[in-house]
Amino acid sequence: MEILSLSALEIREKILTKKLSCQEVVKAFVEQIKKCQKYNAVLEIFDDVEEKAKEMDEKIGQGFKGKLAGVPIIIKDNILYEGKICSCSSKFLKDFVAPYNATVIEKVLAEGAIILGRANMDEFAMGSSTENSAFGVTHNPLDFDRVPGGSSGGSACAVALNMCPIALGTETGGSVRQPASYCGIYGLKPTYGRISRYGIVAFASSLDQVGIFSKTVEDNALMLEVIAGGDEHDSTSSQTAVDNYSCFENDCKYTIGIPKEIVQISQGMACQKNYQNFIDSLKKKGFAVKEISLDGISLCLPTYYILAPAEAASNLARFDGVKYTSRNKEAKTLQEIYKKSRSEGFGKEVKRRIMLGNYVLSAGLYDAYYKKAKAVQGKIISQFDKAFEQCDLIAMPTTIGEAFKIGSKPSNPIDTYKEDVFTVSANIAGVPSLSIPFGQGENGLPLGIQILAKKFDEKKIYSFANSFTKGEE
Amino acid sequence: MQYDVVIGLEVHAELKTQTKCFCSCKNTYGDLPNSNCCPVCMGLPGALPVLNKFAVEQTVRAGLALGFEINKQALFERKNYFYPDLAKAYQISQLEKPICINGHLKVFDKEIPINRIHLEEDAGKLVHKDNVSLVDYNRAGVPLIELVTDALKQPHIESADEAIEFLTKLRQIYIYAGVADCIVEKGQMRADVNVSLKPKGSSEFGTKVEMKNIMGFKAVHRAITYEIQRQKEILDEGGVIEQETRKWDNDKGESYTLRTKENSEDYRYFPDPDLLMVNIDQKDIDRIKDSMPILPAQLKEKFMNEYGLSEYDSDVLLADKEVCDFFIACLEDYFKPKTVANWVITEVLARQKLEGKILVSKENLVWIIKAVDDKKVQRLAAKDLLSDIWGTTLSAEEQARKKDILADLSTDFVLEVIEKVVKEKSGVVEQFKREKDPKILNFLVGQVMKETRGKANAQAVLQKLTDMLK
Amino acid sequence: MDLKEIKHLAELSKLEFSQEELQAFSKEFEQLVDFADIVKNSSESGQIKYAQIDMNDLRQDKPKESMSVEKLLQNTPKVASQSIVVPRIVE
Repeated sequence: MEILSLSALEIREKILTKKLSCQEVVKAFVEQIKKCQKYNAVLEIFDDVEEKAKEMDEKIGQGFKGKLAGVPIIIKDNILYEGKICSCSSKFLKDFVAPYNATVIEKVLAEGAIILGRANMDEFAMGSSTENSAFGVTHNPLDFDRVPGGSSGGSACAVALNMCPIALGTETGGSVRQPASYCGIYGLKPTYGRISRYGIVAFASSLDQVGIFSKTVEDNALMLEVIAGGDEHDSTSSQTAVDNYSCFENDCKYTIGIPKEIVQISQGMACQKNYQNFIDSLKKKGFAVKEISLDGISLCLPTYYILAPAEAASNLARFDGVKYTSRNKEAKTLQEIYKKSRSEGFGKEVKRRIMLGNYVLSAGLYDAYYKKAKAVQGKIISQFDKAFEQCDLIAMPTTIGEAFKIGSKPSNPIDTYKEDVFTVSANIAGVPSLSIPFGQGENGLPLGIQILAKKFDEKKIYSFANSFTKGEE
Repeated sequence: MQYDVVIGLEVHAELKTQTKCFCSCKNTYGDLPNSNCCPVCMGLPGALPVLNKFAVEQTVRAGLALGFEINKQALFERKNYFYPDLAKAYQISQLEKPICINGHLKVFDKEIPINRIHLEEDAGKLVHKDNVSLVDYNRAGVPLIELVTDALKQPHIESADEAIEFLTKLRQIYIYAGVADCIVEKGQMRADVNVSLKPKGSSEFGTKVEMKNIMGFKAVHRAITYEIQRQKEILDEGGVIEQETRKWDNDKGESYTLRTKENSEDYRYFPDPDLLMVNIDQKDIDRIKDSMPILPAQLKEKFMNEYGLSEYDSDVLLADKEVCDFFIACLEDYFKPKTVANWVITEVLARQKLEGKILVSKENLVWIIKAVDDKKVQRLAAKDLLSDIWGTTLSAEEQARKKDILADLSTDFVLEVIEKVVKEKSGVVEQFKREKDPKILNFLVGQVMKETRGKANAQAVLQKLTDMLK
Repeated sequence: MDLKEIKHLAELSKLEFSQEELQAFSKEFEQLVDFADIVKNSSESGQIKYAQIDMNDLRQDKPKESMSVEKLLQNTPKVASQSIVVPRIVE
């Protein structure tokens, strides 16, 4: 029996029926992580995993039947797990020990998950390639010379290489869906407010959400069931009831919206043909396909690059060498501590975004940039609301093409930002989106199609994905 | 040259709540450094603010007490700047939609317009020691209301005296409304002041100079007086006032430049994405209004119109809420407002000022006042009695018995003594009958008092003797 | 974008840059601002949507236990008397 290729659901089932022990499972995955070290997906395997597995076996022996009983997972390194380092792949936080648990950690532990380790990422989740990590790039699981995507590249790579069946990432502008697409797996960005952000190191608070990587739709839905829900520690988390996401609807006669603006934007891009194939495939499978319009969608990307840096500049100001980040050794005055610690602690991309963020918030410019961007966001939200009156789900490419080569991105930051062109709209609108692996590019590398729904309609997305994929097999 | 002075005030007061503004840590004072802190207070990564409902209610209450309109939607912004006492490097405050707008406060005969009251979080505390500063976040996140006067509207605060009256009145209202304790020494109420001068009668405002770090009302008075004089001298010499922020040094009695307009801070305010816009329902506003404790202005009216107290006495009683509450409590047991007010003002207030607290129960004080009124205890003896029991657990009645100062009111006993004295001092009695000299009568009263060892009521004895010896 | 403006932003951001970094940055920054200008100059605009909460649904004013000082300050570079230490601040 090949443990590594089992889904989380299968692992749980086998452990609960005593066909496998949690210790065996954990041992197998830990070995796999070690075997895949050269991919640099996992920054640290926690030293207590065997002990935790043993405890779990005992607990299960006493009748524990948690939804993730004995399931090993890996977390992105910006999620606080008490007593473990949480570095955000930044030099600045390389020794930072989490003093408390994120709400999602509390939830997965309560359901019996074993957290194997922490995954590499772009520093403070800023990037689309995991090249911005202070601890080295993560490699694409299918082509070592390419990036896995980012910023949750480590988590995506870990799942794709069977280091764990499910991994947690975070999204602000596509950081789960894009790497999922590059690595050929499922990646969900839930509705804003669906999952508590408490204990997630903030990048852009109004856009950040925890996301889920998995090899199957079922596993993805299962994890969402566990970690979704309102949280008294997060005012922006929603009290909307948590669906039984993994009980898929059988009758999925959904109407799928195809935004004509997206079709236009994808003209000439590597993803264009694959997108067309997907639409054809939809029709073949009997889904109603409807052309819709989201005419403000081209503004999503520049809007994102105003809102996200502005919030980031404020969120990252707390890292100052005074309270919990490393302090520059030469600094003598308070101002020196601030400037020198931050200058040596943050990487280039982080500095760039902090500067940009402070620019769009600064006196005299705030109304023209930040406030205007919020107003544009308001418009985009309305357009999505209208679009979902005409269709159940919206389909669009996840990425412009296949994973790119490590170091191949131009130094011009805007060209790199354009990588997010298809993903950011779901973040700007606050709606859920699941990237499902579909098709391949010219180099035989995976591509993804993302399915968007209206807020809190994750179950519809999963049901669709389940029904669509079943037909594929 | 003659100038009009325009004074603006920004007054911060720490709200009375159980917990902090954005987390469930205790809102207390004086604990060991950083012992009332959590990830939110410390601004730890991943920590998120969760707004305290009662802090919002208290702000609404403060606003209603000062005649403010309450915004139906309140928004919280981040004010970004780096300072060690500010853990997150931003303060959660309110800019665009504060909870309270357009209020006013009567100062002498002027209704001073107030622009806003908004809710924000306090910063931590810095203790400077040798060559280091120590940061303590216990105070970080304590709910704070900031009131800002409206210098764009008439009438203005125009003198240091008016500014102090404003602060005194404001403090009184906050305390009576129950929104804040305003203990100035604990930093629970702090004022920043701005002063500008313009040629008398001119409609154009002069350049505003802000002054920070003024501890205590007396210092505010000194700082304003100093600043008016400083600006006058500059203007008289044809100089120009720089727009700046100055720091008041109370020891030296002077201020110095903290920062000028050029290097003024850019706070990069924007709505805090971690918090939601708060809807305040009219029903909730009404509920808070209905539960508003009685405020100083209403009490004063009652004291003067219903209780017949003088304005002066009313003000004296109202100046300290503990005293005022005590007065009202005593009235519940013994409704003689003038008498009780007299006792409270002359006897209780002085002792309370000395000890910082009222250290006698209302039952004991009322017993003493009644005993005097019923002529059971002489006034002087009663004052000594109050001193005896002040700050102790003694009962007034028992102590009076122990001291044997309680008048034996059995008239028979006093009459017996009077008759005995009249008999024994028949010569003196005869002399009085002849000369009608009050001094002689007083001598006889004194004899009676001596015989009764002070337990008789001198006034009553005098009356009796007068009647007897007509 | 002139160098003075970039320096001002660096000051707001509490970041230091070498002269070369500043030069490179000012060029790059222009592109970033051009990109942001797409929004600034756009005719598309809507209502800012704020997520809302009723006052009565806010957190109740009931104290909870704070974090232990040891845990709270476990990552602090310099601690004395249960406090975070910084060089003496003079205003």
